[in-house]
Order: sequence, then structure tokens, then C-alpha cells
Amino acid sequence: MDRRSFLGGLLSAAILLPPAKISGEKADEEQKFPIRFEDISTHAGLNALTIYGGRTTNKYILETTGCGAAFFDYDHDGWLDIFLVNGSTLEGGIVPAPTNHLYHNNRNGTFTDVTQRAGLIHSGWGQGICIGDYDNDGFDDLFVTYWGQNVLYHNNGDGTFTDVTEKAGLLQSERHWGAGCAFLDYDRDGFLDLFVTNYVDFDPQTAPLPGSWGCVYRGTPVNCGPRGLPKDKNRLYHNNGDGTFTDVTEKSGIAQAEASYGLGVLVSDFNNDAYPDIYVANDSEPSYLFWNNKNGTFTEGGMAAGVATSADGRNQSGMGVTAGDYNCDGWLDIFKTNFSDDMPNLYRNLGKGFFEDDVTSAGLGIHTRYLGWGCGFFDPDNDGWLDIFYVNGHVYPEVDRLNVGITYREPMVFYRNLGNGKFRDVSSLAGSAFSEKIAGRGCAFGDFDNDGTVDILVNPINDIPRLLKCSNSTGNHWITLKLIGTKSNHSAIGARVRCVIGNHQQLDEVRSGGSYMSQNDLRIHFGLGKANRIDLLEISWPSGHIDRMTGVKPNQFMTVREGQTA
Amino acid sequence: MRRLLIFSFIFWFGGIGSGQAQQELPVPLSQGIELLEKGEIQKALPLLRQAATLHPDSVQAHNYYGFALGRAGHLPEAVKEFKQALRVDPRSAEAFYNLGAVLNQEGAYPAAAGYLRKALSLRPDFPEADKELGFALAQEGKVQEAILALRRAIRDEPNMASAHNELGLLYVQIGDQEDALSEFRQAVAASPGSAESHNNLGVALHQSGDLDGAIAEFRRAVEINPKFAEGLKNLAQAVRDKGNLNAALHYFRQVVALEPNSGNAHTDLGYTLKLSDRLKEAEEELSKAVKLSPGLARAHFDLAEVLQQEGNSSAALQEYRKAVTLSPADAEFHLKLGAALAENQPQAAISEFRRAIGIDPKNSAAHQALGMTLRRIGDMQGAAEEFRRSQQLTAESDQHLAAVEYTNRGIADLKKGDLLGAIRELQNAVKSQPEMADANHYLGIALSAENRWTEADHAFEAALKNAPANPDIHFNFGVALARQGRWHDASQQYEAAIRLRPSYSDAHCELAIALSRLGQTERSQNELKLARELGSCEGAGGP
Repeated sequence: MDRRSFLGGLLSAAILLPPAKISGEKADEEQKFPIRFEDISTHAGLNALTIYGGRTTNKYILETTGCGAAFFDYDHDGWLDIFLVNGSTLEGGIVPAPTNHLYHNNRNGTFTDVTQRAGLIHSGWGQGICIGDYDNDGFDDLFVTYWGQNVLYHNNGDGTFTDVTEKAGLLQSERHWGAGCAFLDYDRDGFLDLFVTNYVDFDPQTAPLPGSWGCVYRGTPVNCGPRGLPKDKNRLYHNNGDGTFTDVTEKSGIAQAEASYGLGVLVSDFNNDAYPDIYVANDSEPSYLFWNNKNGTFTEGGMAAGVATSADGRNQSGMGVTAGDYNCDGWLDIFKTNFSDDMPNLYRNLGKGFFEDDVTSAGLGIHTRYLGWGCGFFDPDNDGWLDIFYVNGHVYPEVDRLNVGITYREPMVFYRNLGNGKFRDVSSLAGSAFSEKIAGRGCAFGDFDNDGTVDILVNPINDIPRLLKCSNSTGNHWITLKLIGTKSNHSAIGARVRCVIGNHQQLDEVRSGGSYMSQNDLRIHFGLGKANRIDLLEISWPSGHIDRMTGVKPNQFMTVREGQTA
Repeated sequence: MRRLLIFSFIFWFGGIGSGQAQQELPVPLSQGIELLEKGEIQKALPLLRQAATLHPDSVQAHNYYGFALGRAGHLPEAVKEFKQALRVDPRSAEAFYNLGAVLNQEGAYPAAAGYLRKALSLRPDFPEADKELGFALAQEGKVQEAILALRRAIRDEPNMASAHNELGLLYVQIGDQEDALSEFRQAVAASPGSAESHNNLGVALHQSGDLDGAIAEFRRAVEINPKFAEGLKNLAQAVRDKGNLNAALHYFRQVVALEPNSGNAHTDLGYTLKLSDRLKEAEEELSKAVKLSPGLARAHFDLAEVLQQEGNSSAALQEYRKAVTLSPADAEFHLKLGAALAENQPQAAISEFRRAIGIDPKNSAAHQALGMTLRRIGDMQGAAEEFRRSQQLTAESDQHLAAVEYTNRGIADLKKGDLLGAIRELQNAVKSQPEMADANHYLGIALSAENRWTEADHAFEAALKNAPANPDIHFNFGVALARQGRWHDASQQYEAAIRLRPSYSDAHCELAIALSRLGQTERSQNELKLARELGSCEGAGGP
């Protein structure tokens, strides 16, 4: 019995009016709210199920992690296509076997499944996805992680892909559980290197069964882990510039960090030294921040930076992670989702390599019951301040049978940035997408219909994907930049853009990977509010070159080649 | 917060069937008794007073009048009446019993025990007196004697629920969960309509990890007595542990309705609202709690947590400070206060983190938080040391977790009879955490079952080094030593087990055997007698 109905019961009909008024006010606010997200996946033709583990019960942790999603323009037609990683089941036997899916954007709000034609049929326990043109041939390539063997697909530029894992030297001598991944040019040599997190050294032959080892949740036996299961180390592969990679995990110092349970990975320049650093969201353990030493090596310094744990020093179970300059102070901040009965983190970058977890003071501590996964800073209302979206979903399908108010499927959450360091939960105002519960995992952000607002792609497990189209009635302006490296890597990954209007300065980077094992649109989008011109667009390329443009008109898709303003 | 109900159920013995020949009772006495039986105490009192006055030599009149006084809460007056009954008949076992029972009620346990012993010396088959004696002895801390008294009561009256309950509570007190559960189950069987018995069984089940069983018992308790606040609290907490926050809220609201002025009740409700992310309501309840109970540290702390979650840092800080002032020995309170201070008052935060570490040196979060704050003020070396310590503690925690897992697997193998598998798992456990007492203990058991005596002895010794106060390790080591024919060493281990748990019936039994082997017949017989009274060695023919 909630407080409202209790009062209603006591005071009879007279008390019924105020709630009706409140409800009316809420309806008004909802009607006036300028941002709406509606799921158009079915209409768009995104009908293939993502299969992943058991639907009602899971035997192993392998069945829980789910899959990533990607927005990327594989055919360079200027329209975002979609790649969805798929998984498997312990029982197998599904005919045809579940495969990843590539959907071509028909430019009319619909997509066509071109997986077979593209040569991307592949089954297994797919996990993460990241994009980058590793061979600088002008077409973005695909890297997909698996429990088993990760796969590198070369984009042939004709709508097809070729599995070049072995040729590229990325075959593993033993099975790993690849999770998050990201292309990055850590040594700024113009070729994209590759970072992969490994989650658990998982072997079903030896893994404990539900109920053993104290694997019980709310009195019900559930799958075990990750605590108690063997950990694994992250991997860094150096691009040799000839289409092959060399494992430099040891040489680069990445191996110095203890093995852990790595999931989401985020690459950004957190100390503004023009070299990319690497943040890894570890499950159940302190997260890692690998500082780039600018000499081909890294030093893990998450604890010292204040991004390893909660503000009170507790280990958390990190899942998804995203970066953005939410307070427009010129430093990229970090948002990370965690397990249930906990809050996410909003690590505000103080500069000088230090962060402060502002999750509660920013108003982001109000949901503790959800188990968060994919997440992103983005600006769907184009007001020039980054908002936050994340998806949720429990890891134990068994909770539905407990009948205790916790559900396997959970709602998505949308916080609007109030521009003063604080956020407001506007999920209930932002459209029908937020009234639905899903077993969310990966999610990606991108303007798939090129209408100047950023949309969301979600890859829930044992469900069809969700394509959340954003409608924006703010009338705010925007700009979207497609960057092409010439001296730098062709995908321009690591390029950093400053967008200045008056004394309001925004900052973003072209980023591979991120969210939860997912890939956002490589284009950079800025909301511009009511501004009619951008005073300065400044692009700092990984090569060190800087392009500057002034007096740029809003509401356009702009392609910028490295050096074009020189 | 769960708690066991310690209730002293006094069996008021009015005198009927007390051994006196039934004879026609004076009118006021018979009418008073009739009213008493109907529960109309106040109406009975003047009649019984009249009977006691008119018949000063009637033991029955004084007993019944004393009984009625006691029921009405007039305990000192009841004592006087029972003493008067004893003046009339110094051999009235019933009067001694009543006097002992009412003194128990008054908390005068040594005196109560004295009178109850006299009752029992006059009438040895007096289970109610044994039960009251057990209660008095338990309150005096005389655990073994209490257990013996309660077991005698149960032997003579197997369906005495109150005795089973008392014995169950005693077993809980000495950490014997299995026997406690058994007694609480028997209490419920003997008195299925007793809310308290169901509640006690529920608490024991909750503590043993059977959450569903506990919830069922708590539900039954509050079905029987919907106004049973302790039962409702226990039910609310159990369903909250199960994750059913809505149900927990429902029951905590009932507790608040029953105890509207209880700060604890509002705190429980507020905390559960907080867990439900209903922060405004949580703040409201916790604000009521701190108003009602300004000295309740937990209420201030939970209110601080809610305010912090709502982003109201300054108000949260005040509440954290109050919580710490009220409960300065709580490491968590210092840690959270430190975290709230860290951004603007790093030096004060450092002090709080250090206090948390002083209280709980193995708190890795406190070391981590201290490191982050030291780093903030530029003490990089101090920060590095704290981070190192935090990491070390986390690693130790991982090792402990692994050791627990191996131990559980070893125990499972032991239960299956797979001794070699058990030894392998338990050796892995010891490798992960050499000082883990449980792992060494079970390894000792497994190795001795394989007659690998030297290794077994080493494992038991390692277990005892880290858990010298665990009677089960002493007992099992004793068994292993006895099997090697080392009777003297075995008897020492059994004696150590008994010192730690005087009611350890199996240890008394095994000690009797060991002493017999050592030729100490008299001591052996004493131990055997004790073992049998405690319920062990029933089949043994004697040393």
C-alpha cells in the first residue's frame, strides 16, 4: 500500500482531487516535453532475435553478459547501418544457428538484413563490437569479441567482409572470453591498434553449478560468478602497419595490472595530453585506468585517479562506460553503470589526472535497484549539454519467479542535463520507449535517419533489438562532423573536437568501442542550442595536426579531412 | 535487526492437584478460582484476598491469592503471599515453585533458583519447576546446569513448549544451531498456536540460512497474533532479505501502526523505503525516527544516506556527524562521514577514514578512500601506501573466498564419502588460506578417516591455532587422538571442548570412554551420567 492510497482511503473522495491534478500536471509536462523516443524496430525491419543463454534460468555466467550493438556506415553512403552481435545457448541445436546481423540502412526509416551477402554469418557466444579502419583503406572494419575466438572482419569496400583474424595474427592459442574492445592509435603512428578486455577465464567443465559455492540470490540458486571464478588479463595488440597485429600486452605494461573481470572499455584522452588513455570497467573489482605514458607503455592508475571504486572506496561491479564533457569544462568525464543495489558513477574529471565521483550530488543516485549496462552521454535535445541514457536488465532470469518485485526485464533510464552540474530523471516524460521493460545489454548512439537528433540502438537478450527514434521539438540547432584522417588513421579515431559558441565550449572525441561492448556513430554530434553560428570548431588530430574553422553554420552534416583548413 | 524473544513463561501453579486432598473449598476461594479460570483477575482478587484473610492456614488460599496478585502485576505482594503459604506448610513444593517463578519474573534469579531447587527436592517429578530452574540458571549464565534442568523438564513433560523454547534459546546462545532448531521445532509441535514459538523457530531458520522456512514461520506467527510486533518485524526483515521490498514495506507499516512512537520502527520503514528508491518517503520516515529517538545512531545514519542520495550533501553531513557522535565505534559511520567530507574538508575526512581503519583495520574501502583523499592533498606516498594496503586486503579477501569455496567442496565430498576428493579440495583451501580454521579442521577429519595420522594431527593443530575456542575442533581432534590410542591427549581435547561448551553431550560421552581407558573409573562414571542426562551415550553400556 503506498502513501497516496493510504491517504485516499482515510480521507475518502475529497482527497482524490489533488492526485488527479498532479496527474494532469504530469500529463501536461509530458506533452510539453520536447524529446520523445519511440521504438520503431519492428517497422524498421530489425526483427531478428538476439539469442543469448537461457530464457528462464541460467546455468553459467556465460549466459548472462549479452551482446553489443553498433551504428556504423559500412558502405560510406552517409547513412548509418546497424550491426548486432548475437549469442548462443548451452543446448545449441537452433536451426539456423543464431548469427550476428548486418542491416543496411534503406534511408527511409527501414533496414535490410544483408548479413549473408556481406559474408558476416557467424555463430558463437558473441559479445562486443568495435569499429575502425585498421588498414586505412577508407572503409571501416569490424572486430567482434567472443567467448572463444575473437574475429576481425576486413571491410572489402564492396559491401562484403572477409574474416582476416588469422592473417592479422589475432588467433589466440587458447580460449578467452573477449568482452569489450576498442581500436585506438596509442602510439599515434597512424595505424589503429586494438585493445580487448577479457572477462572470466571460463571453462564449463569446471565451472560451479547454481546453488554450489554459495551461488544463491535472494534464497534461489543462480549461476556462479564472477567472484570465485578465474580472472583474465586484458590484451593490447599493436598494429604493424601491414595488416597484422602483435600482442604487446606485456611490453606495453598492460599486463602489469592484476588479472580481473574486465567488461566495458573506454578509450579517451583523460589528461588532455593528446595521447589516448584506456579505462576498463571491471566487474566486482576496482576498475582500471591505464594512463598512456606516451612511449608505447601504460601505467595503471585507477585508484590514484579516483575512478576505481565508489567515493567511499567500495569495489563495484562495472558494466558499461562512456565519456563526455558533461559540465563543459574542457575535461572528459566518465559515466559507468554498475550492478543492482548500487549507483552508477559519474567521475567528474578535475584535471591533473584526478576525478571525483559526483553521482549523488549530480542527482544520478536515485535509482539503485536497476542493473545497468549500455550507456552514453549524448545530446538529443541539442541544447549543448550532454544528457545520459542507460539500459538495464537483471542477470538472473530466476528473479521473475521469486515474485519479490525485482524483475529480469527493467526499464531504461534517461537523465537530462540541467546545465548546472545536475541531472533530472525525465524517463517518464520522454516517450513510450521508457514504459517498456527489457533485458538490456548493449546500446549504441547515432543519428540513423540524419534528422539532426541522436537516436539509440539497444540489443536486449532473447529479444528483438530496439531502435529508439528520437523526435525533438526544441528547435535547437546542431552540427554533425564526419572526420577523415589522412596522416592520422582514416577513421580519425582519437581525433578531438572543440566546439565553441561564445563562452560555451563543448568537447568530444571520435571513439571506437565504449558503452557496453558497443559502437556509437563515429561522427561527432554537437547540440548548439539556438546559436546561428559556431564561433570555433577546432579539430586536434592524433597526428598532432590541428584544423580550425570559424563561423560555421549549424544544422549540417560536415565532412572534414585532416589538414583541409591548413 | 533480528532478535530472539526471550520470554519467561511462568506456569502459575495455583494448587489444584498439588497433592493436597480435594475437599470442599470455602465459598470465596471457589468463586475466586472460577473467576481466575475465566481470566477475570480483577474480579477474582478481592474474593481471593478474602479467602486468604478468612482462612490464614489455607495453603491453597495463599497460593491462589498470590497467583492472582502476580497475574495482576503485583509481584512483591505475590511473593509475600507465597511466603505466607510456606509458613503454613514449609513442605509445599507448589508454594516453593510459585515463589521461585515469581522471583524469576522479578529478575531475582539466584533466589528463584534456590526456591525452585527446594520445590524439586520435595517433588522430583516436577517438570514446571525444572523448566523455571532452567530459566533462572540460564539467566545466571550457568549454561550446563540450565540445559540439564530443561532436559529433565522435557523428559518428564515432552510437550512443554516453553521448555523447548528455553532450551532452544540456550542452544542458540552457545552456537549450537542444529540442536536449537530441533528444540524450536518441538516447541512448535507442542504448541502450534503459539506465535512466539513460530517466531523463535523462524529466527533460528533465518540464522541457519533457510529464508523461505523462516518466512513461513513468521507468517504463521503473525497470523496467530496479528499484533505481534516482534513477529511482524522479523517477517518484514526476512521478506526484505528475500528482496521483496513491497511486502517488507507492508509489514513495516504494520509495525509502525502498532508502535507509532518507536524510532526503530520508523527507521526500519525508512530504510526499506530507501532500498526501494522511494527517497522522499524514506526521508519523511527517517526524519520522524530521529525526532522520536534522537539518540538512535542508525536513524541518523540512514537519514544521512538518503539525503546524500538525494544530492543534499550539507544536510547529509550533519546527520552523518550525529550518527558518528552517537556511535563512535562504528567504522562504517566514520567511513561514510569521511566520504561526505572528502571534497571540501579533506583533512577532516582523513581523520574519519583513519578512525574507521582504527576500528576495522581490514576495511579495504576505508584504505582506498583514505588513499584517494591523501592523493587529493598531495600526499602521494601516503596515498600509494593506502592503495597498496587496500589492494592487499582485496587480494586476501579473494584468497579467503577461494578457500571458502574449496572448503565447501571438500565438505560436500566428505558427505559423499569421497575422502580423496575431500582431501584434495581441502588441501587447496589450506593452500589458498593456510590459517583458515575450517579448512584445516575438515582436512583433519578427512585425513584421520584415511588413517593419515601425522598429517591429520598437523591439520587439527593448525585449526586450533587459529580457532582455539572452537569446541568442535577440540572434539574431532580428540576423536582422532582416541583412534590412535592416545587416550590422555584425547581426554585433554574433550575436556577443552567441554570447557568451551559445557553441554557438549558427545564430548562428555567420549571423555567418559577415554577416562575409562585411562583407569579413572569414578570420573568416567560421572561423565557418563552427565552425557546421558544431556542426551548422549544412550546406547553405551558404560565404560
